[in-house]
Amino acid sequence: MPGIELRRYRLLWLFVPYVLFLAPLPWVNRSEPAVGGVPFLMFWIMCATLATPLAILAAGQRGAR
Amino acid sequence: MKAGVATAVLAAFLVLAVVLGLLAARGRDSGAGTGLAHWSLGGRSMGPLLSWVLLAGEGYTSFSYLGAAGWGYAYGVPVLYVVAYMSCGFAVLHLVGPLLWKYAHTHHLIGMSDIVAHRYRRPWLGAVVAVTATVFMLPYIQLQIMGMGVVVSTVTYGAVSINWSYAVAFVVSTAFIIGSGLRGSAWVSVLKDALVIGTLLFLAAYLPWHYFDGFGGLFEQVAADYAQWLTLPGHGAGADGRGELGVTWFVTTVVVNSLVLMVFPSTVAGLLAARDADVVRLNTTWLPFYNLLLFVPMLLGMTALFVVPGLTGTETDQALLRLVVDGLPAWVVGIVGVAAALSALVPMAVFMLVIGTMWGRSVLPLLFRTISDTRQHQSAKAVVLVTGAVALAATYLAPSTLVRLSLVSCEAMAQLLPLVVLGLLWRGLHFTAGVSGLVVGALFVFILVSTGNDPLAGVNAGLIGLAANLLTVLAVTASRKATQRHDDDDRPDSEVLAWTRNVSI
Repeated sequence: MPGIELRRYRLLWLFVPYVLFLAPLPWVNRSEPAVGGVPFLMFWIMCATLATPLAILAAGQRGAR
Repeated sequence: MKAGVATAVLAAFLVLAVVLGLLAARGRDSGAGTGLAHWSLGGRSMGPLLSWVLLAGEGYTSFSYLGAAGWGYAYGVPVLYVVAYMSCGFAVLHLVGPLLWKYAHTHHLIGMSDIVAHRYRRPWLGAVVAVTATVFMLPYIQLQIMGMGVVVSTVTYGAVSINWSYAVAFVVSTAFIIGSGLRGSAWVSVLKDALVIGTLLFLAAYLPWHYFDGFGGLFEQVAADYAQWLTLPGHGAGADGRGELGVTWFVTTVVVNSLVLMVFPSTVAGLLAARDADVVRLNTTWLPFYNLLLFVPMLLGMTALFVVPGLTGTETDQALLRLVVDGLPAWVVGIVGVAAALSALVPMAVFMLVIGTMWGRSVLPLLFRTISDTRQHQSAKAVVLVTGAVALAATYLAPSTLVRLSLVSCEAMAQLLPLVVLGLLWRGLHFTAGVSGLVVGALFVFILVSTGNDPLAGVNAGLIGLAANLLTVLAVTASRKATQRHDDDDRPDSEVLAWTRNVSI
């Protein structure tokens, strides 16, 4: 069924946290610029943490109700 | 005087917690679900709140509360691997959690050892998994005893020595665990989480302003005096024979640990005890937000660099509490001590319960042919007592930092992944392949960790073990195919696997 196939593609969203936290590390592993005083690496990890629930939500399992 | 106030606050709250645990455990005992399944799964009836606090499990144990501050103090940002792996891990659990829940629910299974025994239709294999997982969890239980020991020793302002504090921690926790069961632990977990969140927010709002000009001031000071702490590999790379905590280490550790959440005892208990699969989906979606709070202990650890400099080795785990002792009155020290003590007590209770349950269900029935439910329950509690005693012994013989203990435990647990999780998705995985992989992987981890080669060239030892593990699984599977050996298991896929192609997910 095409519906089920489409839903399975949405599961790719579950990789997003891995990509956000890990892939850019060589570039974000720096303390400058400090965003609002927060050293850059910390700032990046904060952003990735905030984005994670959204990615999981986009993967669209029913619990999002 | 100060010690008296702080100790009184700590003691009063601990008594309250134990009473709350006992009441919650008794509350439902009149119903149908008594005995082992009730003690361990709380009657499989937990709504979002209780399941949430259990799933959050590791998020707020003394590992993160005291340990993250300790590593923030000793190394700096490498400790943020915790935030990263918990977030990634919940993404994985969002998919796998409901499958595990459904599998356990359909086949009336109450734990990981049980699941394995059903999957491979071999009760003794369940016993093997129970024993293995118990051994792998020992560092984690040691972690909680050490964490609680730090609390007792600091809150009494040193009146109780650290070595006696470990013993006190062991006695209090074992008594609590044997009395309360999972539902009791879950309710105390609610109290614990409230206290932990409350105290962390308070400390985050107060201490940086007390010592610096707010967070901005803290970061400026750290950048000026301790710049190494702000980027990977952090400070002291290569110290303590630990190799470098650089980008490679960060990536490999996040990958391993996030996968381990699927077989980690506290998360599995949280999953299986949920009322339905939607509770699991709901909680795994929003739990990552919870991790934001884990920045606080790290930042407090960095603050402590300026206030209580010079801590080394396992002392670094005292950084947060020493800071609180320095900057705040005794009754606050007491309350923070309570939060830290409960963050050791409750998770330890859950680990012990899982161990007791696995033994009661998978090991003891093989040893004693006929065993009554009451007897089984009692034996499970005896196992808990013995495990705790072994962990206490390890505390004295091989002390280590809290985060380090957690890492070792996860690296070992990762070796169960192919046998337990892959086996539920892949029919062709024969138990001989899974067990061979487990043995090879565990051996790799044991050798690397005990020879001080973790991480090896920056790579987490658990991942090296897991790679060896998977290769072994594939090799054994291939050789079985080559010799055309067939499995004697004639059950349909839907009975054996947690997911088949025609089931929607």
